[in-house]
Amino acid sequence: MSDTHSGISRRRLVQQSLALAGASLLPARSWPETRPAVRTRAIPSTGEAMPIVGLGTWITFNVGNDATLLNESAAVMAAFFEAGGRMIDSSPMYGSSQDTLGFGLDTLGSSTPVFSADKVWTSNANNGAGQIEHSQQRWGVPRFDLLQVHNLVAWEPHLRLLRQMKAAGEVRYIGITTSESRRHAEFENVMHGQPLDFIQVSYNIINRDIEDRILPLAMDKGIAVIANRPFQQKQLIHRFEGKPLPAWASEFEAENWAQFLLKYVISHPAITCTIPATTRVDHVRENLACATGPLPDANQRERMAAYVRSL
Amino acid sequence: MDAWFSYRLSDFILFSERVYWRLFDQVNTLAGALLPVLIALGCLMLVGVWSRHRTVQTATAFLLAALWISSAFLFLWHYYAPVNWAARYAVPFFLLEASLIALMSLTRQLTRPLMRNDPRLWLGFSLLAYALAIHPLTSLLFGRTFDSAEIVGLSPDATAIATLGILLITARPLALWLLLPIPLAVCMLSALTLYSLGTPEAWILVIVLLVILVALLTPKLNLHDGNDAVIANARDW
Repeated sequence: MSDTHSGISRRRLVQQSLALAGASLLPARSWPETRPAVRTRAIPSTGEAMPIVGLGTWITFNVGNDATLLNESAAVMAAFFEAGGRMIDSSPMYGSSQDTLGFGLDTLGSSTPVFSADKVWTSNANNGAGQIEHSQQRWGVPRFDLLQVHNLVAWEPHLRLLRQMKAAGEVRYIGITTSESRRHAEFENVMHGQPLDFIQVSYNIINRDIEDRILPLAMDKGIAVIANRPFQQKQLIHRFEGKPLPAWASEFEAENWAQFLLKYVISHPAITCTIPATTRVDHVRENLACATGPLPDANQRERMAAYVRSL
Repeated sequence: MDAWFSYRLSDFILFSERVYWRLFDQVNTLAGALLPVLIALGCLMLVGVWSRHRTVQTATAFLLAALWISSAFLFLWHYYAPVNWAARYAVPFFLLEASLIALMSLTRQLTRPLMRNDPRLWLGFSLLAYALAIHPLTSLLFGRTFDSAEIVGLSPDATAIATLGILLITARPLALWLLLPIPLAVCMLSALTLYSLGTPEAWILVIVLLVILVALLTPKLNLHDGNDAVIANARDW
């Protein structure tokens, strides 16, 4: 990673100096030797195995120059890698999240098994390449594993750029994202007409729009699927906490509502990885634990959705 | 542009409530020993707005302008912009407000006669006193520590509320309409932000906006009536 630091941002330097006093001094370690076996799904375009639970950064990693919160974020990343996670997703739209990731990767050492997923998000087609380069500097990575066109903003020129970058070996996978169901028709059109490795969509036990068309289309076209907002920004946790977890949740080892909700998402066969965001180490461990136990089958999934509807 | 219209306000609130309040913690820490000085300067403004002495009036206005500048750079630019990219676009408006305050002071547009029975005067005084003395304590009221208190000159909301109060007390019509929009916009945007974050403090700013509305709808007093009600008249100077 050291060859990427020549372009280090001023904010990163500020963050590092701010965090120095309170640094948790997480030692650099050899992650692959300590990581537990977690359930993986193959990325259809290459067959590469991807742990089915990743880490989102929307809101949670946007902590600015706050040394305390930067160190907390690095601790979350450490726990994530220790528990077997790989994919971390961010965007230039997410405030300082990319800088926080860069800080965390610096703190944890260069051998982290991170699968770096980021986005291009600018309505000016000419700014795409510069934005991606800036994002790489903020992460401190020589190249991204996955680049996605964020919310279909200027998707045609950006996808052209991403295809060129992929052909040149500057990115491994490319894709598109949306978090809005009203754009699903356009999203489907892009899936039909463009060669994509990944799509990223919002999916949870309440928001199941994509089950009818997008997920079957992804399976049909051999496109990996990242599911964001599995807890709908904590709203589902708050909505169901205090409600009884059904006794049959133990059949697939869901010990609490978070695991119940997450297991619903990752048990869909089209989902390659979900990316719950959190600021807490115990929550990231709890999320990754979902990737080591049994998952509900199709009948149990229907039962889960019906139960949630009944609450 | 269609893509922009597809976003909701909550899509632009990309930070948590905890992060938001810690920004004030950080800027107060940065201010450090200057914090009592800022509070003292705020209290000086409270005294300054009553004065009819030209120098004191000008000094009070320039002090207020300086507090807009300090709030812009110390809070918006240094702490808020890294978590909310939109904040940096607010900085020029803060500088514009500071410049207009100075300009209006130099052109004697911030010298309204003070009438004892003028409701605007008392509404303005209440807002200013609230911004200086009570708004910082809301952090305690809502379960936080004083470390994240919102201080005039650091917090945009507190600075805007203080400015609205001062304008109600001192501004002649031209100054009022030139200087009101930016602090009103600050209060509105902050209310929307805090509402999106789910914090009850949003309602404080809604109340401030209602107070301003009431003040603006209050019929003007006839300055020729009841001369004995005049506390101080700028034309004496």
